[in-house]
Amino acid sequence: MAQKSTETALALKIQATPGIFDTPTLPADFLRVANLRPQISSVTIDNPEYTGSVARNAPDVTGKTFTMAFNILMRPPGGSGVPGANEYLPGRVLQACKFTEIRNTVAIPEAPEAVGAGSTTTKAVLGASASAVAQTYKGFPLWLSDNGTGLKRQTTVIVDYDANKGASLAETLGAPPAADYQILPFLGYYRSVDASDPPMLSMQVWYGGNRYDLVDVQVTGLRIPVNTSTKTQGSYPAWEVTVSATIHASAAEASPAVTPGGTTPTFKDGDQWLAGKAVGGASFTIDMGIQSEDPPNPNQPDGSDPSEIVSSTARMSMQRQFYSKDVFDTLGMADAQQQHPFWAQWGYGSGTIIGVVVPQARFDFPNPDLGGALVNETGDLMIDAFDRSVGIYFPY
Amino acid sequence: MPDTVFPPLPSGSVDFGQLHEAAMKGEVTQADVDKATTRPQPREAERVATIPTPDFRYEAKAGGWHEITGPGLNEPFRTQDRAKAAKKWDEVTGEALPEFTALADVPPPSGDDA
Repeated sequence: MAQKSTETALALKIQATPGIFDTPTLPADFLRVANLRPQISSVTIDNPEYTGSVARNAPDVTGKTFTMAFNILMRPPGGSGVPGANEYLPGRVLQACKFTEIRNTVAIPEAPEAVGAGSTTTKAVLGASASAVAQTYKGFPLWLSDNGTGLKRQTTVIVDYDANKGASLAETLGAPPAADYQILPFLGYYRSVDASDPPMLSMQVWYGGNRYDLVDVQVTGLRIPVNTSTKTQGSYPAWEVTVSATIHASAAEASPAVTPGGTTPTFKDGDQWLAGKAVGGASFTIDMGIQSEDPPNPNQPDGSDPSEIVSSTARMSMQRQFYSKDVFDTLGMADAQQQHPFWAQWGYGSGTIIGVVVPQARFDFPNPDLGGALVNETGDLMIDAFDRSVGIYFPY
Repeated sequence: MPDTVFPPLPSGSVDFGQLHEAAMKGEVTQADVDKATTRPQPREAERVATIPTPDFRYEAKAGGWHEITGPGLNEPFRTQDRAKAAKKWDEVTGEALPEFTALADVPPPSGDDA
């Protein structure tokens, strides 16, 4: 019988020590993935020796590199409360990509509290139970009781927080908040800009009737494409991941069964705000722009230490509706090179809402697109290396 | 007096409740961040013993792994079963896998001073 592509599975664990494989615990550590694309590339050296004829010896095969790409559907953790540390499996991949996992298990404050005086449609002043340390809540979901109906509508996001407890928002509210607020319990992943090394992963992957144990798995690429689901076309938001690894062991072993993971919310009936305006558009994609290197080390069997991230330059591309300049002047904002927030949020209810926030980004010059029946524009947003400059959160 | 600013967060998993307690006291220090962050803890030394030969290399690694590398092996032979490792070592070198438990018991590589 031929091997089937669908008979594929992947499990992963955060690896404690470089070079030492940590066996995933099954079935708890199964990560549901799609479009798995393993690639083994040969490393060769051309043999320069003369042979006394025009014929030359073929290159020496001296090694191999193992890389693998796969997609993870952006499915929130669900459940009734914030998961434990490292329990959310896609979060292990995000941590390996230099994101910090933030777990806020209890709302702040525990009971809703009245907002302070001086709030506006773009800034909520928090009350006595809030911190006076600047940027404490940057990138965090904020619940405002008078911001519409239902958890999703009432939840907005903080893009800047000052020492006077002023929480600047990514959206422009219909009216200044005048009732209660809470920083919601949430699980979040935020880009970390300190010098600590991200963790490595150990993976087991089954395909083609074999099991491969991968050690020192390092994320070498992360893209987050989010396409709008329209009346006529649906699309899954996803994390597109590329990793490099060393094959630690392999065995002939059929793929185990992976149970269904539940519904993945699509990007509609939500929010997409850029520079304080709700903008329409077909898609946005965040690319973490990762570069990695393999440190040379002849003490290792393959001559290299595990691959390491050496650089990450994030940017976001958007395909959005074109607006007249008196409504939304993207050309002018590209000229001015000021920082503006981006925020997207969609989903259903507690534990099944997804938020993506870029608190500060600069406009690159947009390109108008008149190729279709509608006028659109494509344009990048430049994301500087501020702390929490890219965030993904799941409020409860 | 300048505003106190929340420090950048490191790699790992952070319990924000702990950091918020510190923030409510007026300052979040690096020690607070370290205390609230869960990071992977290295288990033990990476390599506990090595036997090199002219062609093949045996390594007893942390976690109970036995690894044999050398010519003719497409990829390193790895197992957590010592009997299997001994059998493989006998196949490729014609020698018995010596018993040792610590680095001090491992013979020095040929060509090195004892």
